[in-house]
Amino acid sequence: MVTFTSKSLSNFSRSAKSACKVGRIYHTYEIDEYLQKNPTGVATPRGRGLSYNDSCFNTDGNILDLSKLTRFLDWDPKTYHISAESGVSFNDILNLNLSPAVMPGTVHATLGGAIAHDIHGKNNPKMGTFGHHVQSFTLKTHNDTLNVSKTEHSELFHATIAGLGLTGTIAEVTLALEKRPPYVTINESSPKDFAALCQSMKNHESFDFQASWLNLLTPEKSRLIQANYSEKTKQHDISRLIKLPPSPCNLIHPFTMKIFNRLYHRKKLNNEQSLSLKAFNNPLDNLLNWNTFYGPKGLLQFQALFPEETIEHHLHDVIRIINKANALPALSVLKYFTNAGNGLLSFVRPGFTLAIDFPNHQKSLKAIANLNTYTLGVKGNIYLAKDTLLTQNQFQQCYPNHEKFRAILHQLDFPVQSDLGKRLGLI
Amino acid sequence: MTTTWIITGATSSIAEAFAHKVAELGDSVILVGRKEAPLKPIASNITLRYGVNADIQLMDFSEKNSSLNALLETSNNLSLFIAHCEQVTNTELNEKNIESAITTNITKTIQLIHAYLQKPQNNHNIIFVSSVAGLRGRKKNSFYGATKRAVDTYLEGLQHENIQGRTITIARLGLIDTKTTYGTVTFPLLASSQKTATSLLEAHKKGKRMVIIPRFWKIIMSIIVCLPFGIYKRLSI
Repeated sequence: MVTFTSKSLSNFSRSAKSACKVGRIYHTYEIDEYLQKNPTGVATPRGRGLSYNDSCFNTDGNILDLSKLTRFLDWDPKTYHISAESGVSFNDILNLNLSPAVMPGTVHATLGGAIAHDIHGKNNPKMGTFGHHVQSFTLKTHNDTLNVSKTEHSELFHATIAGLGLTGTIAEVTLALEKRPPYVTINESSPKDFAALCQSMKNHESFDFQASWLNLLTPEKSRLIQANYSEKTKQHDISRLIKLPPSPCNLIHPFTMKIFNRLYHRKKLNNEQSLSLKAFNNPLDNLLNWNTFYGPKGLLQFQALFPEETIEHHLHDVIRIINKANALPALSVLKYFTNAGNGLLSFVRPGFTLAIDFPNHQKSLKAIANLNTYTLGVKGNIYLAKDTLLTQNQFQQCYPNHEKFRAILHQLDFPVQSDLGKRLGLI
Repeated sequence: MTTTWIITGATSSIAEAFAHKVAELGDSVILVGRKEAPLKPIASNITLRYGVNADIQLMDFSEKNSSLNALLETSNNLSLFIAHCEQVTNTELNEKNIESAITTNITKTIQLIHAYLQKPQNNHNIIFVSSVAGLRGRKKNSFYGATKRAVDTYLEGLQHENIQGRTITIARLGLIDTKTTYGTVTFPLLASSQKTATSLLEAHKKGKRMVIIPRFWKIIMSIIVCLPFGIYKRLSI
């Protein structure tokens, strides 16, 4: 029997809290027991709550905590398909010395959460989004357990990829992994301006991975990092966890950001450096508690997709909007997409995606609200996994498949509730 | 030298965490429980993560006639981790569950330990997951505590025999963060199952015969055990 207890939940950004009743699931059969005893039960499934948004909140309602479902079920070394419970993380897969084909910004995200947001990585032109590698999953709805794949319950498959957890509870996932081992060799460069940087990123064919750390104040100090899979050698750096003490206050100020940018710019450009995939793709995971540097109010992130033809123009407009709001951008990352996601509400389409962290305060909120409006105006898109400000109307503008998605939810008599579902008018 | 751990109550959080700890060191495991469905993912997970054998044996310790032979019929060097138990509060007691809990927690447990010790092998290793509830009768669960204390005392007698090559660890657990305590216990310092399993294995490797986990429960229980009954009966614990 699942016991629910009142908790105050947050997410990775720590910028919001939600009072929920949380039931912890230890075995997948307990989800069936819960749903059988609560035929209209609409508990929100939650992995580790590592998104920045409210998809993992159900204020004053029930949450199913699936973070204990961390078991691997099957592995086929011929097809490189792995089956696992939905709470298994990318880190768990890396610990088997295997490579997830697409990895999000943190290795601690769960497979269920990765499906719910159709996460992307630094290798979209070569590998697409996470949803492209999902072979099948078991989805528990209020009256059934369905085996869902591209060929079985296909409509539900494409609704659940990027479906924000609203179609049901994902219990088990079968995923195709990358056959190459999780090691890369990286090269870094510092193109002279945004135009050169973006042009370099468009010439992506030679690289398995690429991303840019942007310096929004001084474009020539931005850094492009490109990487290719390589065989493991003795030179490969294994990522070491640096346990920073949690910060009691916000450390992100103009003065500290100037010092950080200066130090980062002084850091030597790495060429032919060997790294583990985790150390390359998820450097911040090695800094425990880095998100506490934004203080107790947490951080906010703006992540949008812009058309590639006019990307330099958009980057300068973004800087202008941030400056006008007097907000302080912290870390900024630019990635390039060519392959659209295969979910009805997938964020990823061809173009450039820009992600910017801000400390959580009024100026940042104003900047992000204005950036959202700007993005919609230029026919861009906002990433729901990072956003908490989009209105229902704005969401409908960026996600043309919203009606089709809502129609599928209506076929499920009791779709899952969540704060995000309510905010965007999906339930 | 590797061993094969028979782990009873294998679907419980602590037992599963212990299975991981020993599998990480290269030991094989035999996971014992009543139903196959929850055991299969635990077994596959251990094999895929650590590359060791993880077999399943179905057993219902509440059944008086359940045979223990299948568990012990292997030529491997076996070790025993006992975590199965029936938990019942005093307010829930009836004729049926009294008999069932005694069969599960005492009769079948001692039969298993006895049969295991007859198995000819150089070393015998037993970890018994007991409870601080056995240290003093508490109004909430004195019957349950008594069933644990019964086995504790039996094992203490085996320890008194002082036989070479035999390591028996009685682990009295305080409040641990498990499925049983989740949402029902408002104690602020619940130890995780993973840390508990690590402590259990460490204590056993050091040859400790008795251990209380988490350690601060030693102080709590020392006080509770020594309290004059006139004061003890007034505590709402």
